[in-house]
Amino acid sequence: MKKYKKILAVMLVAVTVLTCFPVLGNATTGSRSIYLDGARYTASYYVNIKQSLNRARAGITVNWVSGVAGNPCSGRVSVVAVDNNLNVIGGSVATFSISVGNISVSKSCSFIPDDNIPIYLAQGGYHVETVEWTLDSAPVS
Amino acid sequence: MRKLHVIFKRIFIAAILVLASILAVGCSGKHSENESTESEESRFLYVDNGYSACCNGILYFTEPAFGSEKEPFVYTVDINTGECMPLCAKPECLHNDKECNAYLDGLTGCNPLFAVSGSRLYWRSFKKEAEGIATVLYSMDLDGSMRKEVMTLDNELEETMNVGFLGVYGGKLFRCGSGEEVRNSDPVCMVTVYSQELSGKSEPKILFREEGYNAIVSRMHEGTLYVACFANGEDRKLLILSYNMDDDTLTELYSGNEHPGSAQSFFIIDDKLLFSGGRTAYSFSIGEKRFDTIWHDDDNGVLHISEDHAFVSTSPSAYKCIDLSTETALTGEFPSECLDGRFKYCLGSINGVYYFLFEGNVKSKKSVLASYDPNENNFRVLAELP
Repeated sequence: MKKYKKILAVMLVAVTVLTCFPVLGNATTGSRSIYLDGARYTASYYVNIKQSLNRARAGITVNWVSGVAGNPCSGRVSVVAVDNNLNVIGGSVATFSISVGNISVSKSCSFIPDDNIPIYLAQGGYHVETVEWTLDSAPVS
Repeated sequence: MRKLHVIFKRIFIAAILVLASILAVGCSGKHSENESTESEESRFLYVDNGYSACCNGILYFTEPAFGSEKEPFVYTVDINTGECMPLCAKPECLHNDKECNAYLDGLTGCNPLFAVSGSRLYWRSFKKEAEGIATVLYSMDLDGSMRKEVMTLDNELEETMNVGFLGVYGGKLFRCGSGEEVRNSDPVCMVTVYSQELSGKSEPKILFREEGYNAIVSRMHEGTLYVACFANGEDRKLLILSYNMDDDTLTELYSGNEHPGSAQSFFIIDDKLLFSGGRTAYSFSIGEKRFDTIWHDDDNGVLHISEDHAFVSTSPSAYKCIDLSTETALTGEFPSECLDGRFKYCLGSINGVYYFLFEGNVKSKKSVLASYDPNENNFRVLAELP
């Protein structure tokens, strides 16, 4: 009986911890292909927190691979940072555009708070033309 | 008889002119009254957060650009009743598609940078064109109708100033923003302030542009645009500027690194700038060129100040609100419907009441708008956004 009580107590603590404390994000990278208007591009992207600089950054490099596009390929990259109490304390966003005839474009955006507030990654967001994706570091409740 | 007729005609024309002058003066008086009402009511609102604005007792906001899966609808809140609804008066509109007046097209992951001026709501959006992305200034009436494209903004400038502030004064757009360029694989951060006639016929006038600063907060107050540029990180510094929008003069108010910390916004009371949204809330006296700490909290996160309180989250689910005059603290828990791992955005405070947006980045979780009144130490859920 005591054993079950102990297990129950441990389970209760675990549930409480998981409910109350968020699991926040780490660095993530990736790449994907994007087909647009007869042309193919690759997008390499990253989002990270540099703890030594207390800086959140997201970036993207879009390379033209093949085909002829009638229109430029454009998009946005963004990053959002939260503190350990889940307050959004800042973020940034950058737009980019790769014109017909250009081979590559790189864009990044970052957020650095002052006064040593520890920041955690909430999300890196990417939008290229109609394609949207996120490197999501949502807190798990 | 003919002479008399000419005299009467002249008197009539003179009377018309006098009447027209009186009407014109009356109208301009009303306009400036509206502008002062706006700055008074939204004094503690984070006008440079990019997703909210307040005028004549109405708070306008959209869900912050936090992941692009959120539908960009504009909502209004009557700050007297707490009633929240989409900014659309179209009969039978379900407010769930692009035909709705409240739908802001083309944002795709960026904040609209709302500004209210006169009887119009202004915002910034994007449009795909043959040459690339065009950044466009739009406006509409405060009931969501009469939407129009005001002008296309300078893309070269806008490309490095996505985060920031947009304001309208005296027929001109004022834009402040921070951003970065990648040069030789290294990011170079910069801040830019420019103005442009709303007619769009003249070129933008760069008022200030400098590298080395990575954040900018701005505010308009009584004909002056105040700008604070932060360099956070290793080479920390702060530059505070004021720009007289009537006579086009730029003044440096402060440059140095003695400031207590970073901020999400600042407010203007008398000759003081009150910085809020960092770990230290502090003021800067323009006359005395001096910083004073209003409140500091080492143990918790960011502080949000109002006329007489400082609000801080003490955990993801609990808060503390300090009365700045008595230094006594109220404590409590956020409402259960606001939690579930949601991120919190503080929109600032209007007439002593705080407004928060609780947002999850998981599709099934709806955003919740809530207000907190320190006098009642009570949270009130105003709306669950669709």
